[in-house]
Amino acid sequence: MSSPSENEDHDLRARLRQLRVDPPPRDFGATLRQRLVEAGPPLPAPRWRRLHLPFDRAPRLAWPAAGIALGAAAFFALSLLQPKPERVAPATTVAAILPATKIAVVRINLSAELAVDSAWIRVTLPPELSFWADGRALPQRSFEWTQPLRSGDNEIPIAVRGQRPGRYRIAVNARIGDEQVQDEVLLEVVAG
Amino acid sequence: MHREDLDALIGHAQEGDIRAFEALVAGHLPLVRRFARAFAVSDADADDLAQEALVRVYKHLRLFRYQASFSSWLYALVRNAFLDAEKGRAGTRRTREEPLGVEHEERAGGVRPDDALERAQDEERLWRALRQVPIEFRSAVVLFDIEGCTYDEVATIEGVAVGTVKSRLHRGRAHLRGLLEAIEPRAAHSAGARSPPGTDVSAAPSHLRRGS
Repeated sequence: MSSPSENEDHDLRARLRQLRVDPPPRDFGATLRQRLVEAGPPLPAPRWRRLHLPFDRAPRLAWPAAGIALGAAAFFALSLLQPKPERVAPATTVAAILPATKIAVVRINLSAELAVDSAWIRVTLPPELSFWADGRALPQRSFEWTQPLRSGDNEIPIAVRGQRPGRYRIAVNARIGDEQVQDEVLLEVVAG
Repeated sequence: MHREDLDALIGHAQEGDIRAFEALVAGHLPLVRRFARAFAVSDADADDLAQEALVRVYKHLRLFRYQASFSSWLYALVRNAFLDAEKGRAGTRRTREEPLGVEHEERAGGVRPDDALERAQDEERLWRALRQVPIEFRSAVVLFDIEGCTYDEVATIEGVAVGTVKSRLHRGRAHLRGLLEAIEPRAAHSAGARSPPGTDVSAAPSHLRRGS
């Protein structure tokens, strides 16, 4: 038997379906054409420099003398729109390896050929990784913010720590205007 | 439309052929116009907003590089244009928007309308309520519940995970129900009180027909 809320959901969805009616044409097409003519031809494609994640070579690791943190460089470039499964790293390729007892500074590099006033960026960790700040793990699983980007490389350092050995993906989303890119950085946490 | 024909149209449109662009988007116009209705200040502004979004699609057509289906790419751009327009007028929205309560007062004190008029008023109430659902939930409700897109399609258009789409739908519907309950007599839309006029199972969105 359905619950009252399920019934309400069903009723609401049935009502919403009724809104799927083709609107009358009016002079929509003619007005649209006029506006397209006034707008001029499509803009040239932006020259986002497209870098590939350096998964085909050894991860860049730098061990500080104190041994507290390690640095891993993960690069991706702002490219064009929507999910691009072909750009997701192969599951067997790891961008960085870090011991479970250490804090890793993952440097995400947003690379653009043109300066951008405002880019929206979100970094999301799997449950097995934690953001790290002021000597403690943060409860947040995701951070998002906007920032300007300069032409060229824009490194964003993010301190993370692994809870237990395994391979984990850090999800990175960025959006500039209408362009959106999603990418992942694969980290391997090892015992130690 | 065959893939080759679609690619040819995209290529021509990317070079500035307006007729090719019109042919390219012709099949999407009803959805774009309905989608715009949920984001416009009023019905009268919906077509203007839809055209504005389509002009933006045209201007940015060279960004399309076949890494997503054209329809998903188109709807993603259109959605972003609507969201930007909504955010841009956030400060003036409150004063320009028609209050939801007006409809209620008319219903309570007016002559009982015939079925067609009642249906038109019901739709109008729904659209007006939809416009007051927070924008991050609204597009999911429109795309899934009105347009019949699948979870995956909505996720692609919105650039989020399927789980996020489900959460947005749940919260969007809850918000919408709350708005409607505030303006409608309870008996008018309680479970089983009536079927929506003109209900046609064959017109149900694809995901409902598939039983998901």
